[in-house]
Amino acid sequence: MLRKLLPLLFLICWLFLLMHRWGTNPRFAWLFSYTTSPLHIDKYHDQPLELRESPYGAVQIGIDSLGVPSIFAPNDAAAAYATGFLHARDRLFQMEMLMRTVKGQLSEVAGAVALPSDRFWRKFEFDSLTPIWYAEYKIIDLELAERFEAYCAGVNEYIDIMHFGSLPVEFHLLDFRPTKFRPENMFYLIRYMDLVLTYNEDDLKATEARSLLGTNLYDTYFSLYPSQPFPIYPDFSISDSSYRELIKGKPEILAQGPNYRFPNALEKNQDELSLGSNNWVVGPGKSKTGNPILCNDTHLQIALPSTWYEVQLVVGGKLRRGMTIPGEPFIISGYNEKVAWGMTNATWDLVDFYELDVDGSGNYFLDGQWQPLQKFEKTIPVRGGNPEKVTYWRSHFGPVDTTGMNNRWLAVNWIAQEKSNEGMAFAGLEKAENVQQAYAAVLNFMQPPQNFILADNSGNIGLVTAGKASLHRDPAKGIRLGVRAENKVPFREVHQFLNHFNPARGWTASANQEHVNHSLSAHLSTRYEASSRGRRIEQLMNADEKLGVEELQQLHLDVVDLEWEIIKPMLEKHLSAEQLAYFAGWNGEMVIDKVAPTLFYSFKLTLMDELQKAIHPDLKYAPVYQEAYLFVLKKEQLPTYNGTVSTADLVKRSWESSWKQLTQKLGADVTSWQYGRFHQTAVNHITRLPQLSMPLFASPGSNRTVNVASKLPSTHAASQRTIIELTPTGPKARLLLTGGQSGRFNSANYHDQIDDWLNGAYHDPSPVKNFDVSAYPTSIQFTRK
Amino acid sequence: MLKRNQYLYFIVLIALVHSQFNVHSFGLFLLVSAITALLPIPRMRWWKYSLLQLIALGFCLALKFPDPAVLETVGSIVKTGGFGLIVATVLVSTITYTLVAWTVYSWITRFIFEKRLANV
Repeated sequence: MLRKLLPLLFLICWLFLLMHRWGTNPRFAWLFSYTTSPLHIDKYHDQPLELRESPYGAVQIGIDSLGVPSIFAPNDAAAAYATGFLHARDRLFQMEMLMRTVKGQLSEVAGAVALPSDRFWRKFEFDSLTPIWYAEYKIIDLELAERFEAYCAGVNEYIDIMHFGSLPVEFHLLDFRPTKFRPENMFYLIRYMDLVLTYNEDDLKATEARSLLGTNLYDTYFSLYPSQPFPIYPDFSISDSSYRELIKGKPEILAQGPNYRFPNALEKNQDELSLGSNNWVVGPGKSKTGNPILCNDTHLQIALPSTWYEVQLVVGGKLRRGMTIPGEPFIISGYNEKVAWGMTNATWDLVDFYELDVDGSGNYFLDGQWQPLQKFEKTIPVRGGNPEKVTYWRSHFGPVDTTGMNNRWLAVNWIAQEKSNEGMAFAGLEKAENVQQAYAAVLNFMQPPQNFILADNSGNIGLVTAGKASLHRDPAKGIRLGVRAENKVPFREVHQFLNHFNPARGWTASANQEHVNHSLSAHLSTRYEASSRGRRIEQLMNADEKLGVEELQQLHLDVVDLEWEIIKPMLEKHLSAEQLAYFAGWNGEMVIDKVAPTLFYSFKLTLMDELQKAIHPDLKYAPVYQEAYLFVLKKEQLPTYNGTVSTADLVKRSWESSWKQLTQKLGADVTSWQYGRFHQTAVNHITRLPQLSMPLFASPGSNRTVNVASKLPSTHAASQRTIIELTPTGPKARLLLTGGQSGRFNSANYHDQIDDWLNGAYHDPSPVKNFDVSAYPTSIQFTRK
Repeated sequence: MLKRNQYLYFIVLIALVHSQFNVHSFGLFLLVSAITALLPIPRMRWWKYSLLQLIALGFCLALKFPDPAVLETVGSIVKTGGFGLIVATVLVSTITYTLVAWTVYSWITRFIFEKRLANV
């Protein structure tokens, strides 16, 4: 009997071992049983496609050697269907992660490590709100809804026909299958971009800093206005009455007191990250060829797969080309036959925290009476652990999550909670025939607010800041008191003020700096990007009377850090001649083969650390870097929590500390401290798995150069570059995305554009309007159903 | 001419190759494993099932050898190395099949054989 029982017992134990999820690891049965093993993953080019018929009309797709598809479709829906199919083919895991992030379902596949992210997102209830938004949206704009549904059908078509060997490796490693795409997913991409471009917890950190430093010392370092403004719209003017109308009402009441501490507040140092972008356009008068030339480079986290996905669409014989983002069918930055567009982030303050006065029975005090807080619970499935039940509350000011808030009841009002339809803006841009029509299209854009640069082939150029702003009546940063309903700052459109067309100087540009040299600016935000990039763009624009594509391409690659102009006199004042000799003849160019950029960059970051420590050892909130450098430059003594510190001491201490850090990192031989050894770029896979990421490589630039490279190692930089010349006979473009078209690690197009990105090379596609199967290495054809 | 047993071995092999190469479901693989053990092959031993599975896996790998890039990258991620990944996969698949088949054979197929013999 025992002989018969033994195999059965072994079998039960063995199957338990294989089928059980051990922690967050994939089931051994999934990973190591041949039937489901990743050994089945096909060579990328071997992946078979058994195409079915397209319900939206016949579509031909030619894919070039860079993996860029040209889609020839009879209508927008058919083009969206093909775009969805290709996005899924190349970026399925990226799309899945984006959807799971915003729905708060990451922990389900990634384990407890993703719980903070899920807790954050679940309070906004996007998973239940977006189907309602979509149903409403479908009634308003049926044509666009059809385009979304076609896109969705394209994504799901790929999921349906996908061979097991085509399942991306990440699904094998995480042991789950892709989720079918739904039309309401269209809202998730925008919410995710809201997180990247607008979400911060500076209000918490500002209140903590004010609480720590007292109002006077806080105001010394966190002033509201840039001391050297360099606005995007230099000619902006507004009447007093219009200005007052914009900020009418009682100023919000700021929370103040000695005990505000938020040790878990999100660390997102905007100055260090320099998350922004550049765009500029030269009009016919400034252009060497007499044609407008538009340039855009968007600064984001550079990752594998790339944020962007390039496509060419020929819809009903009309051409459009540019960068899409998987998750939406639209060209976000690009051109059609007559109009080109690009964007930079408006960098406005679009998150407000409100402190509620709460009793012990689930009520909060509002406008003189107690109002009930609506409690709601969410259960977050956690892989390798028990499901997490999280309680939130709804209030007039937004959702309340008490986790990590130090027993304070803080409601959050964030732009992402606003219902919006950015698809209308991009659909309009794709079909615009001139700058006026493009302007009308971008007025539909709500979030995250962007500076849209526009040009048409008639020679018109323009810039418009579109999207909703939060016009704070009291511009100071910090938590507001949620005791009166009026304290809630509404989101409003201000594009009617923030635009200009065909400016007299013949060009226009934006680089995330403040919009206007007016006190209105502080009501929009008090932490814009430093103006260094904007100033450098102006310097180079003015360096030549006329500019061509080559000069503008060089501008994309420019690595002169204008903060050197502030730091240089500071060093000259306080360092010895021997120390200054390292900078002899150097002009602030952050190139990889010199030592001076290493000393400069390390010093300026260390100076900020030392200043922050001197102001108060517990200070977690950094002043605006550029403003702080200017302040240090101008003052002999700097006020601190316990008196003053001499500027000379601070600069010398920072220099010594920086030197020590560099010695530890790069060795004692200063001549070997080339910038390329100090400043390297990391292009990581979105899972951070080193095997799917690129090794570190030396790269030029800094957090203040036009060719931006933020953080050490650099992870935030130009994520795509476009140069578009609109000639009377059609557009000529040079394009590049950081990384590659494919999200498949074993594809030739996984990171084949990284070298070009580093070396400043672009590809210049010729606009082909008719499908020729022999012109492409790969082609896919859908027949009409 | 093949003998009856050889036909049965051949059927087992075909079933194993097909279920592992084309049907990517662990549950179905277990089912197929159990069904192959129900085939009335006399004097079956556990190591014969192991051998059949090893031959089947050999066929599978010969039909489509894994992409070297996949082997290198996935092997590195799961910390087995590329060759180690193949070895681990072959081991796990063989042990699984052997245990399922031998258990089914011991409990059901042999019981039927014994009953038949008793009737004779």
